[in-house]
Amino acid sequence: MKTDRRTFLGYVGVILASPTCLSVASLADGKNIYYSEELQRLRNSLFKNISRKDLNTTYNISEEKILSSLKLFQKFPNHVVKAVRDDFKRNKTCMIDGWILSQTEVVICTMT
Amino acid sequence: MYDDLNAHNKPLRKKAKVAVIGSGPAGLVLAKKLANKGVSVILVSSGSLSYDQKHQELYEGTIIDNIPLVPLSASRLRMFGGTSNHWTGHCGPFDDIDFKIRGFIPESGWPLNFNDLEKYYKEAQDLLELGSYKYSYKSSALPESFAHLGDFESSYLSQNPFRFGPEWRDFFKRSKNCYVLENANLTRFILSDNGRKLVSLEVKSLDGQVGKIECDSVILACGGVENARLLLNSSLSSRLPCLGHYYAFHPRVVGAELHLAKPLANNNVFQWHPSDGSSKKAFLKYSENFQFAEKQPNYAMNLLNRHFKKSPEFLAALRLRNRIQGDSYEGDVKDDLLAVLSNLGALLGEYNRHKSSESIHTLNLMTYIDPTPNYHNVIKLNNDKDELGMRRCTAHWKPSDDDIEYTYNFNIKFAQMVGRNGFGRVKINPMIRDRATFNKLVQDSSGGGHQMGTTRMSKSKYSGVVDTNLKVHGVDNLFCAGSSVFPTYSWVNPTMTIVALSAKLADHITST
Repeated sequence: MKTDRRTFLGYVGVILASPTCLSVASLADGKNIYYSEELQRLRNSLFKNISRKDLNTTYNISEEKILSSLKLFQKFPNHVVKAVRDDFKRNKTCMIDGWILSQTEVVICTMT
Repeated sequence: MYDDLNAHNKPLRKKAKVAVIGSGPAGLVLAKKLANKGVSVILVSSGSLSYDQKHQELYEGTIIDNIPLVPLSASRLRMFGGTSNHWTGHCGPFDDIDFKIRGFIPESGWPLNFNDLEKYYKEAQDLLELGSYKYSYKSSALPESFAHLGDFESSYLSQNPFRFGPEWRDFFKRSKNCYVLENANLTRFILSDNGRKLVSLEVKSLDGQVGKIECDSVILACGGVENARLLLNSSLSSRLPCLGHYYAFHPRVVGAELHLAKPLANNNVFQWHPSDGSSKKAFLKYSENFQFAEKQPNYAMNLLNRHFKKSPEFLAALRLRNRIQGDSYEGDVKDDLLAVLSNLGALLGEYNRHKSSESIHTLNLMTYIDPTPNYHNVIKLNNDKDELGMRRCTAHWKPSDDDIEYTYNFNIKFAQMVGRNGFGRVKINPMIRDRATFNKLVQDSSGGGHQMGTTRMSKSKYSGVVDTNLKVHGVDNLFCAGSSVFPTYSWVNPTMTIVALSAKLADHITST
């Protein structure tokens, strides 16, 4: 599981290379690569202060989406990048502290 | 030739084929083009070649709720060359869609289309000395990570702060067909008995000298607010139900920031850079197909390097540089020199930061809003009077609920495009969603200098003030030029369209 997590974080953080996800990667790798204080704050709030219940009630992510994202992450981590982009295509996004993020990345970042 | 109304002891009487009121870009383009075609022109210029505070004070007025925040007496300049004496020179043609009727935007659409203006845009490009006429970037000109924009496309503006007054003063000095009357302010329209024709004009100087001008045609070219104020002060106001209405300016709000996956060089194409004979800057905007499909207006995104906020000493240095270059200068040389010399170390550091090619990870996103036409946004006369006895005006502008919603949507769509393409993530400022905080963002923006819409172009006097040829409805020989005639406003700065419409009007006058 830990290896999968690293694989995922490698994809999201390095291949997708969004700064949000880079902060996820840096968390896993113990590195300190931050592009802004804002991202540091986001990391803390995103991973430490959001519960599964919040995903449903506050961010309107359906139970089905939560389960499918987790399943994707566990079984097909290589497909996560595509799933994130598909979310943006289909407007399956949510706003956290002003950040417009894909539902898939929010679920994975929060739940794993 | 130049003349000064104050130099005449007796009331002055002058005749010409055309009288152009106002010596800003619109008035000067008209007067020059008409004079070159052999038409006798009187150009009435309030003030003279140099800035004068007493004339500037004629522009004072009131703004409701401080939107825009820039005072009416500061956003415009009342002197030969007009506001071009302090503008930044950002130019571009309006987009094709700006002229079209868009069913989802009430009262959108011009009574002419882009093709009617295109040859005049090319003429304006030359007059403004903007280099070659190119306004769509090939994707190869954008950074690789911006190659696939989906529902967005790139566009750009040119920049050349062309100073019409200093650049063209010699032409008008030599011109035999154009008589420039300085220190003359229009104070009265005199109409024929049936009210359908202007017979003459009365002008007055601040020193009390008066003059009378007789001509076949009169063109008001005094700007987006002043054209309306002059007409509202006249007996024509009761005949023009839309006069002063549909007032707008260009609100621009920094509503989000873009955190990039791959850093950009500091001198990227989204900042001003030399290209095709002028300075250019890329913007990202909705494609036309997307606007119609998603019922969104013509907004554009300006990607700003984040360290654009300049220190007071840096601004002082820029003012001094402008003074050395001979541009208009509004400052105190002693104060500015002191600010520069006492902060030399910090100033050099700041200069190096601006000039260095260091990579940037985060850009501010400034939304260029295409405001919706709104009858209730209006220039009205108030009870104060200026030195000449003309009533001053009050500007009322409020963003509509649609404007706020469209701005929010634009930022969300932009963020989704960024995520889809994988070149970063966007953080939205929640202030763009709420009316009170949205107003604050508008106040904080640099917008406010582009007054538009108060004598809008229309097919009927019930939906505007001038017709397609810029002739005032119901008056045979009175025309308006300038941004006051815009029925919609685009995201693009207005000067190039002002110049193009003026060039077109000159052709119309000489063809009739």
